[in-house]
Amino acid sequence: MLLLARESRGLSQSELANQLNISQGKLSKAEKGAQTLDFEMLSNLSKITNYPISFFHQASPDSPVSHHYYRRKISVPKKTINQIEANIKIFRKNIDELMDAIELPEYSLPSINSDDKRPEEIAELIRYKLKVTQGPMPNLVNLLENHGIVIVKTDMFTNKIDGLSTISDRGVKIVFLNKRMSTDRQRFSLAHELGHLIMHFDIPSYPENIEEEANRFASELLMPKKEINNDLRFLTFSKLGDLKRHWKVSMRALVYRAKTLETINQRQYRNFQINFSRRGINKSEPIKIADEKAFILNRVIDLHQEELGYSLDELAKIVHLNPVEFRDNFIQHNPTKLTIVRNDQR
Amino acid sequence: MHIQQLSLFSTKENFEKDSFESPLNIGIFKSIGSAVSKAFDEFCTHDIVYFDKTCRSNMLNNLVVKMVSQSCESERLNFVKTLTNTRRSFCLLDNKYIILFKKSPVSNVRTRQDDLLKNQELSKHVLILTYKVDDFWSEISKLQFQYFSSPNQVTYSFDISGYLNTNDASKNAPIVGTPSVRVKRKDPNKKAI
Repeated sequence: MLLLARESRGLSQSELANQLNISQGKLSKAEKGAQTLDFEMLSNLSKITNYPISFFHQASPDSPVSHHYYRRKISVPKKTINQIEANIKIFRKNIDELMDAIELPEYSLPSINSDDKRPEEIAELIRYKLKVTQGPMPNLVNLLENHGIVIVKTDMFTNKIDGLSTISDRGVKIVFLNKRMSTDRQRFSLAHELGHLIMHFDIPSYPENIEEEANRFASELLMPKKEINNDLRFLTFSKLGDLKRHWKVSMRALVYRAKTLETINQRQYRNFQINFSRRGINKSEPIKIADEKAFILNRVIDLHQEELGYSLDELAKIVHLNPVEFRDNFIQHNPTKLTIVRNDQR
Repeated sequence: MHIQQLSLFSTKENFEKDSFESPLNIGIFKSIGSAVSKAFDEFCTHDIVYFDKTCRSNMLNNLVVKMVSQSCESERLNFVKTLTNTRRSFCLLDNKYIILFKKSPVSNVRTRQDDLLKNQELSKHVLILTYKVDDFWSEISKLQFQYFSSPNQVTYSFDISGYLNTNDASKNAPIVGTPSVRVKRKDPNKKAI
């Protein structure tokens, strides 16, 4: 856990060794389990990394990071990637610990091999499974949580990573979304990660194709060709705002979709890009899409408090985090209080 | 000739900018600004993707009139109830100014009525509250009173965009259903061995 603690705080080995006043070699050995640290050292480590001492007495998570899929730009520094992965591993472990006593909606979406069907066909099938047969996809976070996917909106320390999907050791499907991004971008990322969960998690696939396949899946899921094709003809800047409100996707995603569906040509596509940059809306687009709040994680905490009698501090202890970090991570917003669903016939 | 004709109608004093912008009116301008913002927020909740420009402009104008009349109507600001079924809605400020509502840019199409209004040929000063939406219809970028002295000439404008409420707080999307998350229960049929 020493390695995870260090990486999750974005510290290099030499930086932490300096702060602990020990040699880098000693720290390296301790991280590999070849050397033990005395209580004083652990206490210092706890102060520097802001994890309770009990954090360092846990077993490291077993599962590798291999089951991670990112929607990201290529230029993310390795250090940031390590920091995110370490945080995700900790988060994932915490979620498993909290799910011990909790029953989630059953995951009911199929795994489909993209060798058998095109990503677009798979997306059409998934729309059918989600019972959204036509029109814009409604609250996607809510829809997927109803199908047993846990969605976590968290800070990913950079604007260059959009989201990530993973499966916990206990099989919980989790999608992490970067809360720095706008809702329209988060929706596309969520659709993209859903594509990974369906097409790539249980099925061996070619790594060079998976990102493109996930993008094609997401585009079709959010903007089905048969419905949007006409909307994207004679595309103008003034029309983009309306389409964004209607389909709840970014203007850039709409323009890209128009290019893919060949309702605009390469030159027009380039003109749109130039105009986006000229109008300064490359990074922040006008028109805000309504926020899609995640529910499950909050509900899990509520149930622990209301039904199982835990306090927030006790829950923080269970997952070996300090109470402030626990609140930041697990209490994502203040949802309206809802009654507990009980199935007495079971 | 000109003087004779004027004498047939009640005359009005010259338009005084300072009187219109008087601190006494600031409260009214603030509530107008906030009502226009509210109208635009409500407009944004409608799915207008397949509406043409005229239709959506009318929708927005109706909402602006509705919101201003609902939240700003007072002894000093009166909406005139008309039975004529014309779409031109207006109100009177202190029984001295006629205020009309238009999306900017104000149309150049000339009608007899428009000419009367823009030439200030009425017994009260006519001001048009104009609001400008940006290219994407994402916000109201400008809100101002305009005083026309002829159909194509604005002689005075007073910007009250500062009183628009820019509502940055994002709204929550409606939910489709509540995920069933519950505490695991022991199966009562399962007996301990």
